[in-house]
Amino acid sequence: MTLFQRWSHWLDELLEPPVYLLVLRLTTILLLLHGIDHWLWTMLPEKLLATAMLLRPRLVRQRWVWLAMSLCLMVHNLWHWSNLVNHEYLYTYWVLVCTIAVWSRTPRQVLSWNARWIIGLCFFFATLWKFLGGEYLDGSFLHLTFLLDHRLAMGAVLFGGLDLTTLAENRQLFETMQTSAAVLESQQLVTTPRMAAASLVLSYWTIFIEGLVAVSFLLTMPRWLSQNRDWVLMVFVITTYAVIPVLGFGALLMVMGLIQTKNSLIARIYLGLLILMPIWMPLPQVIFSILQNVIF
Amino acid sequence: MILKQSLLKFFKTGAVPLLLTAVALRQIMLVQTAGLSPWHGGGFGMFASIDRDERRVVTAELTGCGQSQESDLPKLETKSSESLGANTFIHVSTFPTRSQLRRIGRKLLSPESQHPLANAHQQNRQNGCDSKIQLQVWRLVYDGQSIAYESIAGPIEVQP
Repeated sequence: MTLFQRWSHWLDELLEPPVYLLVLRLTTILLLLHGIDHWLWTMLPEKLLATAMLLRPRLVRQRWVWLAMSLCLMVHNLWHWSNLVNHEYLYTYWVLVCTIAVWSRTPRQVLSWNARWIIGLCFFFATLWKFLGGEYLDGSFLHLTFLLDHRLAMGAVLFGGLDLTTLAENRQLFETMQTSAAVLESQQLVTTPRMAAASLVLSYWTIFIEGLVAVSFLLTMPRWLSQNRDWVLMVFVITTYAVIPVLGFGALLMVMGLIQTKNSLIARIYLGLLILMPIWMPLPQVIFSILQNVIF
Repeated sequence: MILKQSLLKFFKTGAVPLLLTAVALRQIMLVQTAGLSPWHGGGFGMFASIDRDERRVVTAELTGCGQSQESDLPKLETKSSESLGANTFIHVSTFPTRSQLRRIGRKLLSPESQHPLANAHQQNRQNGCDSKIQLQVWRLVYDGQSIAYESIAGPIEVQP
């Protein structure tokens, strides 16, 4: 049996019905892992509960356990509402859906229906924000992010033709400006026309792909788009998170994608992408980092 | 019976999407009206705006009594961390409402804060003059070439 056949067989085993139980288990794993890089003490109850659910698999089916998990996440969310980022809200919504699902007679349908709507709405508001802010329409958001965010250094070098020394100088300039609170002075950053053009193209690509995910998940028309919504979501996840790795968000999108699809092949791809996420997501950054040390 | 079924159906199909929508709309409103950072608050505005809380600056200025003394958020944080706490500063720069800024201003001027601005304020009081503190929050903007700060709202004046 080849490695691919073994892999495929393993995915089939994992996807054996009832699939909703797999989704609940995957959600529990994500609940345990998410947010550990920015720990807050209000996370402790949910982490303890998630650990208990993984150690005693029977707990994953228990209604009261999910209700308790919902309460933990809601309290944490309400406590830190202004500091939490998108996917932390998304986890709370998804746990609420899991709770409603285990209390219902049709858990898979509840998970599937809500997953589709949550993905669609999340991308709808993400696209709406790209228009509200206005910094996507002229490319300035991505342009500045390429210049200042060290996580996007790879993109700035590859797309913008900038060198790492220039990027470090730009970051230093901004840090000095911020720490000295020189709010009345402006500072010129070093960039290239290619970086500006690439930022504009990538901005419109982002608006296009996020908008497409929103439309394909929220509407049933056009039919071809709705039927191919999973591919659109996967293109978004691969093209976006390979450049900006946001593991928590990407992983939850894969879990929600997995339960809402009716196609077994697509379910396997979602699961495969999810399991291999810790490898493929940081891979471009790792390769860039190695090249950076060898070449530059 | 019909009511119970409708309620069950609502919970199973509409409750969570509706909650998501309500929270997102509230976030959009707070960003537009109360200076909340678009990156936070559940509106899915992450990676949509330069204006993230970590890039914001809060300035404080002691005014009145014929003198002016300035300070900024990093200095405020390091010099007042015991009395104010880092989380308070994160919350204020993310969601700088007038009441939050007033609260920070009052704490800063209290003798317990031991901040240079509080010391200067106490000295003014001993000399028979009541100074005030002006707090202002700034966000980063970029025009394609230069970065600059622009004020989110006018300065908030606090008198203890």
